[in-house]
Amino acid sequence: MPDDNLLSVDSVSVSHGNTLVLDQISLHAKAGETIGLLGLNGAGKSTLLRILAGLNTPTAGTVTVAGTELTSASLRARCQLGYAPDKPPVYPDYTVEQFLKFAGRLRRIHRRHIDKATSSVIERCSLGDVRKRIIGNLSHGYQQRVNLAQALIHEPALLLLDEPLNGLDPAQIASMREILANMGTRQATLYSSHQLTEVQATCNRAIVIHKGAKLVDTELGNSDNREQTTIEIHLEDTVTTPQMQSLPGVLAAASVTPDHWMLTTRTGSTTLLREALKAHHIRWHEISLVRNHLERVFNLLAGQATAGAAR
Amino acid sequence: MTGLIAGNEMRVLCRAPFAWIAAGMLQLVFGWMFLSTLEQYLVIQPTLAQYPQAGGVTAYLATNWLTPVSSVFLLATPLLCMNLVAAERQSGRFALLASAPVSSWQIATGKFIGAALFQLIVLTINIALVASLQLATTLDMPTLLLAWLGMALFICTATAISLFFSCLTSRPALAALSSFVFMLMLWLLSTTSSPAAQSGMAHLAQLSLATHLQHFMQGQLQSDSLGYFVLCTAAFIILSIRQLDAMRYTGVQGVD
Repeated sequence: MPDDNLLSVDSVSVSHGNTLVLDQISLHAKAGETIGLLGLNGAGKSTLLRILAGLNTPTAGTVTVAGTELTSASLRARCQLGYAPDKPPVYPDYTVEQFLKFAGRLRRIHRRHIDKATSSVIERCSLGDVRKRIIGNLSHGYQQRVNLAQALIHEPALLLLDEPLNGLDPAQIASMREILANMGTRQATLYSSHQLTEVQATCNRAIVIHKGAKLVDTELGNSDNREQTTIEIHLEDTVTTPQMQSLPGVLAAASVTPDHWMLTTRTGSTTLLREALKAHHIRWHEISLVRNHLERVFNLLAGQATAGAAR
Repeated sequence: MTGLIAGNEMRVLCRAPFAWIAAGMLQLVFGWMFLSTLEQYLVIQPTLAQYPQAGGVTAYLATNWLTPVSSVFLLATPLLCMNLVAAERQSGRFALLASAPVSSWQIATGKFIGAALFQLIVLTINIALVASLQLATTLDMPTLLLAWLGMALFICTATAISLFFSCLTSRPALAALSSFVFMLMLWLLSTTSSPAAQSGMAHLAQLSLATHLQHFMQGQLQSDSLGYFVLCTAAFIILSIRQLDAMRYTGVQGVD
């Protein structure tokens, strides 16, 4: 069966020494999808994006970009992706046009086509007014647009954006939102953010990452989404992540505390979950279905982080 | 791609005020040293004329002017090359190259060629100073060309060493200091061949940059000296490539 995913991430893990930075992350993206990668600072979003951009190699698992495996055929796979890191990788002494031409040539755009590609991306990212200006003299908002333009210039199948709205003022955010909203239907976009409202405004899917593990992977814009539902559960005893993940129908398990869990389930059935818990001899105090589960999970994580910082 | 990266490196250096200030100051120092050495030669020329085996002005300048010039490059090359990878990692700009369909080999060789070319232009301007004497006297052109070749090989080796140290850290000043100290040690190994040095240490002089450069300055084309510079340059470029590859595995691509 042909794989129509532009991005396939299968069980990617990253560890630095004994520290597990990413834990068995799997995700898939199709053409036209804009996926928001949500998580608190240090959750592992940027690490995941760097892995997908080919900057780092995962300790385990595979990444496939437009049908090409990223580790074994790295150069071919990297032709298909555009990456805009959180810090614009620009040469401050170059003009916008000079920099974009260099970025385009690096992405293997032929010398004959570079002028056309540069003009096209300048227009797409609304950089016409500053095309001859020195990048170092531009505002942060414009530098972010140049960052986006360098990632887009070769029209990649997969666009990876690391916190593209960071440090922008409201007008710049609105402008960047418009650019992101007009991304083509032929490419998949994955962008990281720690702002839920931004992801809800611009993405059609959201993935929440916490402590290197995927907690939630859900479609947005469909309030009656029954395919994946989060169930919040308070236990009498403490259990481990593998124990919770082994329960039938559980797609992901995240612990708030060892006896307080958020489970992403396939069915959203609390009855099935109660039966599964009984079968595994796990006792509970309370089980509840979480409405607006993305907000609930994210707010819970944010609250947990704030409490941790206060301690 | 190598040419594109080399061209970009040259352009970055040409747009950086620091590179122009460094190049200008080097020209000033070299010019002053050249005139001073030439003046010394004119003073001792009558004495030298009494010895048939004594070299002419070309040999004198190669030994007494170009050799000190090369020691200035010991410091100038690490300063010019510290930004090659270290500063790109510090600024986060390295992500542009690392995510592009460009191999570590192309990145390392491109950056090496760009940085070396810039310095070779500075060197050639200085050799042109000596060549300008052709208008007034007859120069020993083979000796002059060998001196240029020796200096060019020395600059290539110094650039490769500096590139390698620039790949090891994301702090440009640390990269510059480490490569300078390393090259200074390689340079000073020549002192181990002095009679005062222990006989067991004398063979270390064969690893010295100064020993092999001296052969070229004396107008000798020795295969071991040629091989030394070529092998050193190749070895440090390969080490740089390996270090760039290793960054993908160790996750130290940029500044977190």
